[in-house]
Amino acid sequence: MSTQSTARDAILARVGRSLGVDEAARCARKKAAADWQKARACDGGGIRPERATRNGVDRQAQFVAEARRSRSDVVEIDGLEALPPAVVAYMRAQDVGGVVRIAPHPDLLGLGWADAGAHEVGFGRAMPGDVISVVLAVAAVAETGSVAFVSGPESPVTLHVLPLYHVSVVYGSRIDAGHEAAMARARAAYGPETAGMPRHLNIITGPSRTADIEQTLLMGAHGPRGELVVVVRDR
Amino acid sequence: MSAPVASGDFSRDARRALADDRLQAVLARFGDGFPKARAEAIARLPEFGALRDEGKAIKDHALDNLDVYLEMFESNVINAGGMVHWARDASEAREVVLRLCRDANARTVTKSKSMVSEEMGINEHLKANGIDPIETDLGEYIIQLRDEPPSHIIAPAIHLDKQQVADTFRKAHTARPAHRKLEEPRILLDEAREELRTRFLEADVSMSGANMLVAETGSVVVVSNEGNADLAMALPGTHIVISTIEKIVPTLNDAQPILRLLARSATGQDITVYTSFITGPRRAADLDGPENYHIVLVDNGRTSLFAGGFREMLRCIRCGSCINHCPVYNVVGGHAYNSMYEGPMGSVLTPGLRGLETAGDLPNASTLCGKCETVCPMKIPLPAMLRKWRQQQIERRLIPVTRRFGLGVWAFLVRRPRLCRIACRFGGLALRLGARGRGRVAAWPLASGWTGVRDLAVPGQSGSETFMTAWRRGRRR
Repeated sequence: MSTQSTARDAILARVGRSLGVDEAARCARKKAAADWQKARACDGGGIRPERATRNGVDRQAQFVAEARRSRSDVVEIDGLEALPPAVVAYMRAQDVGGVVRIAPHPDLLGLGWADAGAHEVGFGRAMPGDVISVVLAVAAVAETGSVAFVSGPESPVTLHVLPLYHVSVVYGSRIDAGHEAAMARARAAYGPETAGMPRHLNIITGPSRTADIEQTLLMGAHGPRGELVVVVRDR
Repeated sequence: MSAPVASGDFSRDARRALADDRLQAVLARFGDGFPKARAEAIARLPEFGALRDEGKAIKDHALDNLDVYLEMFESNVINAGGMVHWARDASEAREVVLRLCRDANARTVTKSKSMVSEEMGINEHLKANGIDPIETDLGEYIIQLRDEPPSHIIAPAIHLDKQQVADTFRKAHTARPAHRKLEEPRILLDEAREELRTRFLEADVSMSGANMLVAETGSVVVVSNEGNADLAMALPGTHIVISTIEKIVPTLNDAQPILRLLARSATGQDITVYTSFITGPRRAADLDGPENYHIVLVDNGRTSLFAGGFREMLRCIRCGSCINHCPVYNVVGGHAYNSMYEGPMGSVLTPGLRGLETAGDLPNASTLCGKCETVCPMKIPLPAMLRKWRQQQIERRLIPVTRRFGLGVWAFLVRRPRLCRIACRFGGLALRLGARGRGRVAAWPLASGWTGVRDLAVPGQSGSETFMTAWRRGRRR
């Protein structure tokens, strides 16, 4: 497309003219960019707030406290077999019933939903009308009480925003101190292809909210009204 | 626009805003909510000051090597399966977006908040071509129904009270019972959620802005609290991102410090509820997400700001902190600025986008108190930039003859200290005579702008001292 390449070249040329067009200046910029990337790779090389560096027991407690601060409900369980009862108890507490849509991740298959009292259960992407979704987080962040997901066949993105309630299942061993570490874990879990990034990497911190009407803070704007974080303790 | 909210003449619109009791009540309630929340969030993060320095350094580096990073970003988007389009100005951007929507046979487009799309007038253009754009951020949805522009970059409907929102919904949502109860924000929100659900599910295309573009991976960072951005971009088969070129950061690790600054500076949250990194279209095995993914990179005046001494403004991350802390914004509201960008950042940006000839009032709509610069997470020297515009106005003879003459007289005097002192002494004497011993005057020729709302204190009387005596004593108040 000729207008397209013209627009592209014109914009880049205008930027280049401000920065120096000769070959030496352009080489210097390329080198500066390469050096910067090297310095920022791995652990980031920048300022790391203390609250993004805690370890061990402190870290898990921090994660739970921060998640609650962002208005998530948090329960801790000792194994995945306790997940269905925890979800059913949460639904009763919220006084809702209906379809539980579960991410088709191997770890979430074969759990005793019917025994726990959930009779409408489906696996896959979210459908309009689904009441609650259950998704396995690839990482979690103690710094802010956030949970991280990578889109893929085992973790459809519609599950995060279409249903009225959202359940994030977090393995205790996957709680990272800060966002840089969680991002690195998420990318490693996704794999090396496509620059190591999935279509959609979601970092979710609490339920959907708005304050657009008279600055009144309300949960459940377009996404879920409630966020349940289920931490599966390490055994 | 059904109800004209701005004439383009700042002083006239500001006067009208000051006389609007309803708006004044809303602004009073707006008050210090955001600044308080911000202060509390920063108190929980002792490294905030150091992060500001880091954020500034990241953006400065990105801008100093912008061409390299733009090309890197482009090639990584393409590697991930996306398409990149470039547009020099608003009209090119509108044409690209329209073409992409037509290629998708779009009847409706669900939009999540994008200031750039407001700048381009995308909605008007799509509508004129038979495509229905639907704003999904609650505040944007409300003002779209009212056919009004936003009045705050992160709280677009901040100028409305709940009664006005209720009236708007009653008029727009005609399929619902006319006499339903709509008193409470919760009821209003639930109604908007239901109405928009259908639109989300029916849409053929979604369009979003970008908070950052990550060169290293070709990722786009989008943040939202409502989840509307994530919902919109997950459902239709085509997703279009529209962004200006200065949103680039070099690496994913560079995005983190800026995210730490952004939400705290904006709403006082530690982090926005939904922070999404988008890279390319859905992958072959994915169960949802769009098959087609496009990014439109727009210049629209950025390269001019870049070359013309306003490069630092391009560090702006659109948090709205300068607006929340601006004493002028807090009394006149957003519409007086007649731009999608309000407050101090708007007063620097708008003249750069529309020309100093049409937006020349804005750099003058500031007391230069400096609060904006102290709260800016990216340390943008906003007052210095406002002064730079004012200076250009004088150099390019864009101010009225009377103001030019006044400034000329002032400059003549202050460059001649002895003459200036004599003149000041005469002025002081005249004020003392006018005050007749009361220490203040209620009216003064050519000073009605001041004396109309408050008395003018006479220097050297009733406890005040003259500037020169204070200066000599070394007390600079």
